[in-house]
Amino acid sequence: MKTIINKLAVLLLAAFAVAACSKETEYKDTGFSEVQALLYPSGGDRIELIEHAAANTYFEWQVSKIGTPVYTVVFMNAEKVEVGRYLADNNGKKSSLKMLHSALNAIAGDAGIEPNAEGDLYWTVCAGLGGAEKLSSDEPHKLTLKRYSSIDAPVALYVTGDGSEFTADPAAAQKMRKLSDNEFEIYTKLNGSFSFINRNAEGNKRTFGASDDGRLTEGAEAAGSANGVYRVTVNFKNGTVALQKITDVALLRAGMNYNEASPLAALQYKSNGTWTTQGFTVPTGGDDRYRFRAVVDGNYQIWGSASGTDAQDPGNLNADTNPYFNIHIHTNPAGLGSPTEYARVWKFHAPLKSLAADVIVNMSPDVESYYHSFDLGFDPVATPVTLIAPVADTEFTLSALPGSEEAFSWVKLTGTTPDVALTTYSVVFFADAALTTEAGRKAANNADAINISHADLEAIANSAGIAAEGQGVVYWAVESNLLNNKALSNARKLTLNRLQGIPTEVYITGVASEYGSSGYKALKSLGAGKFEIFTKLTPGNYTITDKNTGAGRNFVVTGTAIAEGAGDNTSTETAIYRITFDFVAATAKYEKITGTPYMQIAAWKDKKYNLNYSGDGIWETGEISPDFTRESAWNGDTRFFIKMVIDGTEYKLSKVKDFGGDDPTTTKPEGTDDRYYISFWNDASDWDYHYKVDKSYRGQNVKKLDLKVNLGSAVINPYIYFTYNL
Amino acid sequence: MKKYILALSAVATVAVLVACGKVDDKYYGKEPVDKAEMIAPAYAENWTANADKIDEMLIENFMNTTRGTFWYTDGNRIPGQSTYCYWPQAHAMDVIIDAYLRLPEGDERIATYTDYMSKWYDNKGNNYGNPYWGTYGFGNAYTDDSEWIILTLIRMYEATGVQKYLTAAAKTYEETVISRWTYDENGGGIRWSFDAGNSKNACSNGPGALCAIRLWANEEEGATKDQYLADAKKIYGWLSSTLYNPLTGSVADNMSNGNINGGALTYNQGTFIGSAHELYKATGDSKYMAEAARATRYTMASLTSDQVLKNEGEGDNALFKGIFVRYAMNIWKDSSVDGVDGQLRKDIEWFMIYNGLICWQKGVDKSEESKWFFGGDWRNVGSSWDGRLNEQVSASTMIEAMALLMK
Repeated sequence: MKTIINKLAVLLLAAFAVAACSKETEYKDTGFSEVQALLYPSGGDRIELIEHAAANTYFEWQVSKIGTPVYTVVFMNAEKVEVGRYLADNNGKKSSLKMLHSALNAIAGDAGIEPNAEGDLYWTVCAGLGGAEKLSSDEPHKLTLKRYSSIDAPVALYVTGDGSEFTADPAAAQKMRKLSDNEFEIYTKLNGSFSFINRNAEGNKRTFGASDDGRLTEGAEAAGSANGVYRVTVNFKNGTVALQKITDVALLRAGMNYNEASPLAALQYKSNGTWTTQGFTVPTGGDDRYRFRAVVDGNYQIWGSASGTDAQDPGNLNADTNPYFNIHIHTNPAGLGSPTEYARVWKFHAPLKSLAADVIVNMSPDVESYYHSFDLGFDPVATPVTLIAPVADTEFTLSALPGSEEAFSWVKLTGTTPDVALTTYSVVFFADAALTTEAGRKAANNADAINISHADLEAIANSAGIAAEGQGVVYWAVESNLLNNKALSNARKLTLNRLQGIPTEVYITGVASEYGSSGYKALKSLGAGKFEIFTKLTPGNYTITDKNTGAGRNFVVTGTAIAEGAGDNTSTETAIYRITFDFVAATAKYEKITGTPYMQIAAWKDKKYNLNYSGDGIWETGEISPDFTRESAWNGDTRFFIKMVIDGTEYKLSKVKDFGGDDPTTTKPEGTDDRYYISFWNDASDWDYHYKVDKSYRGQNVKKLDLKVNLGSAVINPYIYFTYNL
Repeated sequence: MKKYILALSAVATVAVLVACGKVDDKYYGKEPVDKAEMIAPAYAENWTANADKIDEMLIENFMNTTRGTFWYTDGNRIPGQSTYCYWPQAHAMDVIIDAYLRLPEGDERIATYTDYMSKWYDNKGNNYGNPYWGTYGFGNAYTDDSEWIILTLIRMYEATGVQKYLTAAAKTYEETVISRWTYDENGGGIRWSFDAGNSKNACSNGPGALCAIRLWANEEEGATKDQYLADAKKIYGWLSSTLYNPLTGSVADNMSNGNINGGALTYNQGTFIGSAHELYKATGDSKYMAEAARATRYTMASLTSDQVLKNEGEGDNALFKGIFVRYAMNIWKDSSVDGVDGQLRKDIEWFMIYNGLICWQKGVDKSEESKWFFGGDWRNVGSSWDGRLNEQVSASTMIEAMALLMK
């Protein structure tokens, strides 16, 4: 009975309240009426909130029948206690409100609804104007909200569970890779139930799981279930667990498309995010570049180099430290540059070719960066060798003679294992006994000896700081190299006398020369290691040397080459030559002077006067009476040529193209008149490149003169010279 | 399906901006044109005969009648283009079903069309080999391709009662639609494609919700039926909370990496209003119908040129507006809509009759030698020689709608 009375009281009170409310509306003319009907969301609607910044739900109601009040949407909890209110759109003037789900999620939280759980709220609309407010007369709409599952992220996350690779023992749980404050990743095999924990120790911990539709759950019993190898990504911000199934990890040769059906090798999942080939041999032929592919959730990915440029040999196999070996995941294989079949490749380290090796892809959370490596079945540790020759404290005098070299040898490793075959040796030279300053090295590959030329030793001596043409000390040792792991033998001291340089003086001597076996004639230096002489050779031997004492270095001409050498040169005929040596280019040129050089009157092509070789690069004639009478209209012409055939080409000897001006009327001492200096001109014209004789010879054909052409090596400026005998 | 809508979206954006710029000039007085007069000529036509003619030309020019499937070009002029012609098969067959449903009893075409549906089913609707083929061979990497086909399979079942159509639809939905729902940076949604990056598109979620609610309608009471409704609400809930703009009624194209991209397209508007309308019918919650009405009005006001559904481009895009016609017509057919919005069906009716009239009057050459090809712009006559299935199907859907509107 008492209960009934109480209920009656409530009903009466409620009736009174409603009456009071309507009376208020009647009495006070506030110029607006309440909202009579709430529209959407409809009463009893359920909304699964979406965790996205733009996600929204549109609230709508009928406008007030009277006036234009400002509207606010009032949210209440399940007990109809207000938990928040929001001004309608357009500063409250619109009869609608676009509510972001993020705001609704917060309201739901304020109303006591847990993340990822659902609960009821109510909403209604309050119309207000000038301080007066009226709640809608419609029944508040019930709204069931399912909050989204965003969960506070732990600092670390581990995988555990009977279905994980790491058993259900928390101490054995595997720490995941942390991608960001909210995201963790692991490549792992799952076979049954698994879960994530925030500590890998006994005691209090948070446990997370995954629902079948990929949502992150939390609770002591939270778990997920899967069967396969996955990339697992746990995202606390989105409240998601993504399980991307990984199938078909394979080694592709460059040129194979990502979906190649017959890859170089298939990789099997091993454990803890690693895959490996089985029974793979690195190919010797064909393209030596490669990359990996994987099928992730049915989509092809290229697991390849981060570099977009063509692959070079890595130079070593230090996969854990050399970023070359890092794996970069390319999710759009068809879009990887052009041609896509060659994009993002690596190159096999050359020594690996033909070797059996397990190729390992390491996507374990334990490594700093995902990478791949080669397991050869042995540790690549190099072994130092024992030196044989040359013995300690040897001295070499370096020579430019062809074939000058020294043998270096050592005791190489023996055996048939791959590490013996893979070890390479190099002779290494150092400038100091402490072996800190390398001065050069010569690779011997897999041999136990190597010949090193004097030219190379000269370069090494230079690097070691030994002065040019001087003496100094280097230290040498042999370096063993196994897949770029190195070991050095003991070192030995070696004294080097460096090569003598380019000669600064060059002489010709010997019975075949003009100067006999005891005479020396210096060649003319043209600078930069070049020397020249016009001279006669007769059958027999002659010597080219850099000293006029008999103690110099000798040089031997072979064809067009000249090099330091013991012994003489041989002439087989009598001939006059222009001989040129270039000791920088190591070349020799013998140009034969054929026929007889002569003087020719420019105006008479048939008036020629022969010049005879008198030795030492000089040609002469005497007591001749050249005919300068032609062109009597202007009283004759004094122009003439000197012609000489060198190496089959006839040259005019003159200073310039046009002697110029009037006939000369003065004379200067021999060799000092620069108008009569000699250059060689390959010119066939009738008048150019001539000299003139003294004016007094114009129009004459009986006056006598002597002519000398001096191309001697002692003359700085070769010249012609007249003696006018009148 | 693969589609190229970016350029079109840009154009649409410009068009909206231009339209906005003109708001002040808008004429608020009496309408300058008598709307009744505009559609008056429609009443002089025999639309059943017109629709029969259009169906005849669709079959004659585009159907491989031995397979019950369709070529992409008339007479398979360019065979290579028919190889991957999958999603248009659904919409082309929908036109055949439209015809089938209005044929008088005893009409010999009933048997013929029944046979086409059977062959179409046997040939997997021209699906091409792909890893997502599924148990019945209707699955595809492109989720929307699966969905369009499922919706057509359901209509084939409803039309003929052949159980296997529905069974295949339900299994394909399970294998390639609802399984592609994921929670991610986009908040949820059905993934568009496995041949492309993760993207949640209006074209995979609108039809996805439609698949669920249409399966719900054909399912016996029980847990499976309840799940279909829950799926439909979930998918539609994501779409309406994200890509749908409640202030305008437009539906954006997609969301990827958490960003909303692309403007409104008629087919996305169509499947949005279709799924909202079906959810309204299923739940009685007028919220859905209010959203359907808003999206319908947005389409009729903004995705038109001279009040005619606009030309949205060639290729896949040419199919879009037929899809809007189909789902707007479903609202027109449903008198229960009047309880929520008394004006909507009248608005749709006028709009559709006017569009159908223009499409028929101006969009096709009806001379004796004509091959009856439609183009992408119904205001202009189609090509005399270059027939395209997608353009043809959009227009055929429109003319079939006229047969209902003008009955």
